[in-house]
Amino acid sequence: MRKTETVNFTLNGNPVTAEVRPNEVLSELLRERFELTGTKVACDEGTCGSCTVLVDGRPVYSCLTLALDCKGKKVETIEGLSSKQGALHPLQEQFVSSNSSQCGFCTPGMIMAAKSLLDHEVDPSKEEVRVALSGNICRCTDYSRYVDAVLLAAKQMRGEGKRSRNA
Amino acid sequence: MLDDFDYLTPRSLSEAIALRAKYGDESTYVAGGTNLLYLMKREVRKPKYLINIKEIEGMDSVSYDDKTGLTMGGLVKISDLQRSDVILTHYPILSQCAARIASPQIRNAATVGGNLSQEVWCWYLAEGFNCWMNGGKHCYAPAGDNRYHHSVTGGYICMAIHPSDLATSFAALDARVDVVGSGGSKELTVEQLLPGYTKVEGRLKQNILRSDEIITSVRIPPPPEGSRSIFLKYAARESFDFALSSVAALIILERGVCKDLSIFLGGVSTGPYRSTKAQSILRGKKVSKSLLEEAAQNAFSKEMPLSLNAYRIRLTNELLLEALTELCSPLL
Repeated sequence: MRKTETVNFTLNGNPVTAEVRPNEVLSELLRERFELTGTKVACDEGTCGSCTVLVDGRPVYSCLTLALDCKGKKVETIEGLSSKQGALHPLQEQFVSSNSSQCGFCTPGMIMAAKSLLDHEVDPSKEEVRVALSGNICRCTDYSRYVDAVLLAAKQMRGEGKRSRNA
Repeated sequence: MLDDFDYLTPRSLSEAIALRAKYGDESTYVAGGTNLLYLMKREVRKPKYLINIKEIEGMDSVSYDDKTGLTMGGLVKISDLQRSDVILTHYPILSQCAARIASPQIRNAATVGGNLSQEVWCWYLAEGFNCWMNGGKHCYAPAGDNRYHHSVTGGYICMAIHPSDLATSFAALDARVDVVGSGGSKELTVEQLLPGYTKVEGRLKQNILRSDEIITSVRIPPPPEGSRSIFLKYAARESFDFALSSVAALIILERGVCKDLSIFLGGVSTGPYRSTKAQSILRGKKVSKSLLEEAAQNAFSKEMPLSLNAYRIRLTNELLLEALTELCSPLL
């Protein structure tokens, strides 16, 4: 075992510290040490997207991101989306109400990729949503409900349209 | 899980090069890591020391000057190319190209230097077969499954394609790649950098870089006056996948005549493939639909398909026709 290094970073808005091994990837750090198991690991080699988290606001595959590279960075995971009172993020609401998940394993990654888009673009086109989700693979559904859910969430966040009934 | 390694973070090029000299073959440079960590997870590559070059200053910006053109640092991310206004204004071909590389998440990590110096793509290599690139003395592709990732123009020893989309576009734009190592700095064309297979320091390699060399920047001259350019890529899936065929072309049209042009094909050969025959068919001629068709049919000067990949020659002919038709659309 090689020696560890101290890594300070912001995790879902909170400053955190971890002793990290060089060969530890971000998905392992999040799931095994911080017990944030919302971030799913499927292929574990950067070819599926289920482990997507945001680093400094941009989506990356946490299975291909070395934990040591997160020094001083802002990391966001699915657990950081809902409010402190537990209210769901509009993306989560719309993913629920559009029944877009079947097995649900790809959903956290899919939502994080969509969140980065909506953080940078309040009124994305359908094509922009498709591109934003193009690094995430779903093996159950046909993707169209994900795209619709993201467009509805964007609408909701702009204050247009109805909140979903599950809110 | 990744095997153990030490992670070293130099702050300057000279420090990085010194570390590489110190740890030799047991070390490797890493920037975005999307190619290297993938191969390490598959236990195909097992470096003991990773030299993280991401903290080296002055290699992560994009700048443009009307006289000298575009300069991109080696650490510029692929997604930075997509977001750059000067690239969108002066080199839309590079915006098109960057948008087709891998997936959004990969583009947020992968760098320009890494894209050019990534390993060749072949599933025998990625599965850890004992092939030339993995230290063996055999290429499994000619007798095996060569449908997707192997050259249609022949090759030397290893038949895997070079997968870099940027290399294809950079070559068409006549880019220069700046490289620094213990032997000093040098300037290479993309064709010099990726000559197909070559021996460097006694080892079979897919690029000409010596083990301690780092790509510091890529420079592209200002777009020639009146030029138009395009990048088209065909892959099994729109995202994630490497090109089954791609075309990067730049053309200068003057009063209906093709004054000059540059055509490179990607994903079909062991490096970016210059379409010399198609270029000479078009150069200096009056553009017409039939001439474009003739050029597209002659995308390759020599066709040497393997047992299962001849379809990618026809695919390339079609893709080249689509690219040329789009470029010459004001005249047709």
